[in-house]
Amino acid sequence: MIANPLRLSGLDLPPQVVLLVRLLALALLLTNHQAQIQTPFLPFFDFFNHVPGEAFQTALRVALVAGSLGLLLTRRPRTFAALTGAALLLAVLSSRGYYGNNKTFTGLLLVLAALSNASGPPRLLQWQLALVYFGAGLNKALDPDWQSGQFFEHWATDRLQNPAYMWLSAQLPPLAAGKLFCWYTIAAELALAGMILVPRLHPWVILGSGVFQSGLLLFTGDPFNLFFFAMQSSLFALARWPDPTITVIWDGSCGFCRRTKELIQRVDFDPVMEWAPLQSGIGDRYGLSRAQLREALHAAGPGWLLGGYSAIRRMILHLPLFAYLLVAAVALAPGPMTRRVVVASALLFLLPISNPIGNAVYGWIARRRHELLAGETCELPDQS
Amino acid sequence: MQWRFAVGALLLAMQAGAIVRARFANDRYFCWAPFDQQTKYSIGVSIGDEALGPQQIRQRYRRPAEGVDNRSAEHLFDIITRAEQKFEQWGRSRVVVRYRINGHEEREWRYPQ
Repeated sequence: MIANPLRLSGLDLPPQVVLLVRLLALALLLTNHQAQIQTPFLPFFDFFNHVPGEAFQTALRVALVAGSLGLLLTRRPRTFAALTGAALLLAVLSSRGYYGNNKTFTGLLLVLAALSNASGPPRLLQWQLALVYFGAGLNKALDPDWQSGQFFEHWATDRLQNPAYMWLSAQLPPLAAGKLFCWYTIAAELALAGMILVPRLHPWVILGSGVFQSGLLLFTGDPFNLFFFAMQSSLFALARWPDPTITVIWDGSCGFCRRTKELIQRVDFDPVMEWAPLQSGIGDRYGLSRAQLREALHAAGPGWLLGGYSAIRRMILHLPLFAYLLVAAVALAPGPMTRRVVVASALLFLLPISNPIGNAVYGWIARRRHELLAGETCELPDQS
Repeated sequence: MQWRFAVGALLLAMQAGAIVRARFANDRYFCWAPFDQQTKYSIGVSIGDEALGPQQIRQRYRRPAEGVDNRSAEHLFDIITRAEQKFEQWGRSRVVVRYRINGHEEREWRYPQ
């Protein structure tokens, strides 16, 4: 029986873990990762020297594709995460030619997701992310070229020929810019590793790591094979799934609002949003006046209440479709510049930096909402 | 389920071990050292009097004959050493790798050393 990939709840893993593994599956399929899997070559364990090479390669490729499709389209994410993750890890262990941090991390995320409990925070995945950041930060901190700034100076100047970095470097004493970026990276990685171990800091880790990894892609234009997808998807292991659901307070007398509501409900399959018209008097529960509610849509979740553009952004963040579209856009981007535009646009949308423009656009639409779909207006009874 | 958690914890403990091991080893396998080093290299291989071409070198090591590796240069040397040990029965080869790490001066690595 085929399942709806946009529905995350009621499966054998927590919803945010289901989203994590499905995003990885989507990235694996869209980047056609199976084509990279090799026959055993200088394996890490001698055992792989004795398996029939081509049959082994074919089996891993089939397992990877079938596992990814199973993750997206069935109601057994645990089983298919185990299959896909095991295929990736076996491919890594059987070939030094295929070995890579991004593939190992992706494989481990899938396997650890399969080993996670059906409810509660996915601690194994959280610790995995902490370990990656800790190892990365430690290796860099102990490397003389990272300590001196030489790594970044060479990479950004000679390899990437990044004009912004080269300009900055020219304004500063030799290696100063390199040292700045190297130590910023080391400090960020070690700080994130520590913060992951403190649950109340997880919102800051999601923000910090998301921006850090996006910054890396903006700087290089390169997702480093699966690395960008795996690092960003892994942040869902730190996210809290809305429980109870998000309450959305909307203007029941407005045709445009109703259409918007229907559109969002059409892709909110779990559903995580419960819609209440402002005319029902629900605003009293949140201390919101009728005037405030008429001015903007509001959304409330556990411990937060947002209005207007911020509310819309928060609601979109909770729709799996948004994450799928982002992964697809980065995976299918024809080149580094398109990839940068996709990631920069997503960052702009997600960060408060877009609030002035977002609020202005939202306000403009909200003020004209009764004119946008003329003839669809129908006043609901006022219960106040 | 306790057994699932135990298997997961074992996987994490093995990685922690690899991070510790990396402090005493030259290679950086499984210790989370992505993108820590930029190694620009070119590989030259000769078997007897015959020099191998770029395509033959790629087939031999599954690495381009010339390129930039984003990981420890030791991984490249490790792959060449292990491949040569494997192919030894079909004739001894001489390998020279010229490489520069992070833009430093060019160095040379040879097999057999």
